[in-house]
Amino acid sequence: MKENNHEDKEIYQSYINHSIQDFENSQTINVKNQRFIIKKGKYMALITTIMISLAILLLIIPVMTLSSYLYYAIGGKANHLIDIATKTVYVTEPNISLEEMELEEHIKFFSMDIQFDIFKRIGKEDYKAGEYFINYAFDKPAFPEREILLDRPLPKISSMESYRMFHPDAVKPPGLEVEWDLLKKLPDGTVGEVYISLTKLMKAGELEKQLGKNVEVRWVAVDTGLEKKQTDKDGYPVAPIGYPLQIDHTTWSPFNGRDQTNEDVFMDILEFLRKDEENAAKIASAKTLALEERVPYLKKNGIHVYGAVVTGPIPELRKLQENEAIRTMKVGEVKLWNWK
Amino acid sequence: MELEVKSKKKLYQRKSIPTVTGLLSFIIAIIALSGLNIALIMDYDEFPDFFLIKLPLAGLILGAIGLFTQNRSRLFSIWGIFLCLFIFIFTFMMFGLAWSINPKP
Repeated sequence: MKENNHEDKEIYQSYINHSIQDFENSQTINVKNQRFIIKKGKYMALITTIMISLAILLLIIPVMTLSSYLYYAIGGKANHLIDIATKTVYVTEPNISLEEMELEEHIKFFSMDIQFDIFKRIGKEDYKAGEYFINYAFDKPAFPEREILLDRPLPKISSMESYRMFHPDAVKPPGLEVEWDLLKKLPDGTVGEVYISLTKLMKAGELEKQLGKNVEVRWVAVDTGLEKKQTDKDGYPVAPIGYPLQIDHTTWSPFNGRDQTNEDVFMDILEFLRKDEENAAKIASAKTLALEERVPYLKKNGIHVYGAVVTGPIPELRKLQENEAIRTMKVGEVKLWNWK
Repeated sequence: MELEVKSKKKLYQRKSIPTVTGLLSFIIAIIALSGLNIALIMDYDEFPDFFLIKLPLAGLILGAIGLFTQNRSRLFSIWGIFLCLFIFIFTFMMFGLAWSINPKP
């Protein structure tokens, strides 16, 4: 029994030795080379990791930029936001127009800046009135930054008081008479822009007839049912809304008079802004536009005006004092003679 | 019963060493991407066609050659081709998207 065990052990030992021999014969790489290969492998892995990490890091900015462009381009989001901004300016800023062709947009990481110039017609010429910068974070605008180049700048926060256009039934603040004196002291060889309030509501065409052909009505403030108390149903102050009365021949202006009258365009714009009233109110620098109340009122009662921005030669504007339709007046901008 | 250890020398060599063309393709793609990043960060008005067209095109060709090289790692070739294609798609899409936003002449 013991002898058998001993034999088995020998056989086993010989197998082991044979296998070790085989293993050593099959390994042509010695230990030094093996260490070198492992070192090289580690080095290659490190280089690969560094390069791929670098590639991924370099992809971040292009991918974010592309995603931002996709966000603003898909569904025309950027164009929609630009439309809201420009249309809001037309209906909330008296006698202000803009060159939509010149509007510039700049898309950053999920934010967009838009910039455009605004113009005022004083006499027969358009003057640059300032620049608007609006920053959007995703689709929410910040309050616009405005660089106004006017002698009498536009109010920072829009209200009835700041534009001095009052509804016939609204209380007239004292001290407005000095404005007529101011007009009298201006030289005859100048042209000007005045904000007038009417003694009664009337149609825009009727107002034009009342004022005659020697002056031009640029923009009319429309009665929307809130102008009498000057606040909306929540008590927030409202600002005038209205529309340009003259055809704007600028190519991209909505008031180009090609398919619709300016009145129809005005109603369309209000309907359009009603869907994004929060954005529009931010751009209008108004606490509220109250379009939910104003649009149904306009649809029910039609468009009647209570105030207007009128431009013309100063001597002709002075004559407006005699006009019974005019209740109050505020002088806006004055420029050298350009009435041809 | 016999223990046998196969030689893995050849196999090891094939997997570890990348193709030269693939590596070049990857490096070119990294340079092009860096150029693109700089152009985006610095907000250049001029179109950097060297980084957006010429370099990625060279990278794409080298990557394609690297992909068909035998007995070498194709990892960098694949990455090179992916990055170069990304730059092309990025350029193409940015043109289209920028044109669709505020499309006034």
